[in-house]
Amino acid sequence: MFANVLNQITGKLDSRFILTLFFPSLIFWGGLTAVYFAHSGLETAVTTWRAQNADIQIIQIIMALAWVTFFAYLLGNQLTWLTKQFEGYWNWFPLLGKRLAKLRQKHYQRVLAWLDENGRYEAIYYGFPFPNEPEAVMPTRLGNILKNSEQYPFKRYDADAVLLWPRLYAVLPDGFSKTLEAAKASLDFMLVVSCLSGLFAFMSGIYLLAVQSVWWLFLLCFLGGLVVAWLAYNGALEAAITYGQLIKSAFDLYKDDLCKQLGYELPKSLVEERAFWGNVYDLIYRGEVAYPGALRYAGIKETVPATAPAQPWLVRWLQSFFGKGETP
Amino acid sequence: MRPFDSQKLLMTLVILTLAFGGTVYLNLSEQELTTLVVPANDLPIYHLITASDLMTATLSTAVLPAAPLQQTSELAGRYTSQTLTAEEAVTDAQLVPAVDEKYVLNTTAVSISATAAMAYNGRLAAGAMVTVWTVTDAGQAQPLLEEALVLDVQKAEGQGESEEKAFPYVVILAVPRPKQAELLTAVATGSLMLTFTP
Repeated sequence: MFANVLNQITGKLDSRFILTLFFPSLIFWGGLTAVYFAHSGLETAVTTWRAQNADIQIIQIIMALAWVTFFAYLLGNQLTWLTKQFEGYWNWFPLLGKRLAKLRQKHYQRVLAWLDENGRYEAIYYGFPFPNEPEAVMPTRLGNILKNSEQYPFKRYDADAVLLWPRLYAVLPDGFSKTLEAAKASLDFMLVVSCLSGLFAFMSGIYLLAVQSVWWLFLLCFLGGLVVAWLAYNGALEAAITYGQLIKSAFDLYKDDLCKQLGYELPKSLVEERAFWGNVYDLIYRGEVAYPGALRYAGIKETVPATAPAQPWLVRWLQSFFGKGETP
Repeated sequence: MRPFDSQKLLMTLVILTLAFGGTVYLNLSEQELTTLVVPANDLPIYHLITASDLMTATLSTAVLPAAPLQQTSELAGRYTSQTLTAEEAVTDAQLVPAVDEKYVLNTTAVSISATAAMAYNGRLAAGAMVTVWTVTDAGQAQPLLEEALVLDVQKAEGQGESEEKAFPYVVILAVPRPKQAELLTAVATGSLMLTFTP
């Protein structure tokens, strides 16, 4: 019965939504319910459930799945905010947020300096901002990986990744955008699992302490939840590296397509290219550019407008005065 | 050497302290004990509990289910609706609702396949008192068993599909021993009906 209702509901939803948000939410709420009944009597709960009328059972299943779907939608809407928290944008958190971010940032600045001094360039390439910009270092590993991909187009082409990304994404070919979507889905999934596992650890831990449950169940839920959260976060780091590399590649491979789509001529050198993207940024962000010559429209030729032919009645009138000449 | 992450170590220590502290707290709270009546041995399903099946035990409040039964009078004379484990607290949901002793003394649990109509479309439940009717060859209905206690109503499982469609429920009744043979004969002829007064 549960499988039938689940099939009917999930059949109407997007497959990415189901994998990334719905199933993790279902497992999260299922886990919390199991913890609740594990304490109050699992056998009793099963007996009470079985004794219920089939109609009531169906209504309960539908209500539960509706709640999980609603929760998953809420989670989906907060996914950007959630990713930002994993990246280390904690300034909103009163008192502690800024201090904690500063502490973690200092630690990663020390790590970056050490990597640079010891020639660990691969680690920097995949997971840190440029060593000559320590102020760009983020408070978390995920933040640094994503910052690295965000910095790359700016360093290389003077192209602002945040501003240009929605435009570039629109011109990506289907195959590439599907790969990119898969990498993003993988990152989102891992972050959602990490977040919900951590939440599960604390919610179930507090509940089991409050009801004075058995110690092993508390330990299993609290430490188990945190271990899963930690593993999922490490999985998210791997997914973020793939996603970050794809973003870099997108700029390398398809910036010319964006240039054409915007209607400009392709720059002919690296100097021209940097000037071009810098001016595009100014144009989009400020509505004016410092060097308009850097942005040349493609396919426009300067031509002298043709003179309109004289009207036939005027020709005949002039011919009556001056005689027939060569037809103009 | 790669810079040491003292903050990560601190975080790990905080988490382990919370886990250890919680475990210690729960272990100490487990010392809160309570004394109540529990089954002395494992009891099978539809077993009529007697005082000899029970014993007194002192258990930790942490392992008790919500609202456990505590007195012998709350358990003795009642049927189990599921298997009970020895020395574990029992709740009301694990027993058939309490009824007058006369309906359960000298009875045996007998299960009969029931049509949707007989089981009141699934609304017939454990604890109900029913009258079992049989229909004679002459087509006349006669009460075969009055005031029989319903021990359980289950959905039919493990039969053929057509059998389950015809008889979607299994009703388990506490049948007085002298009436068993008569009821089983009526079951074989397939001319039974149940009525009950809510």
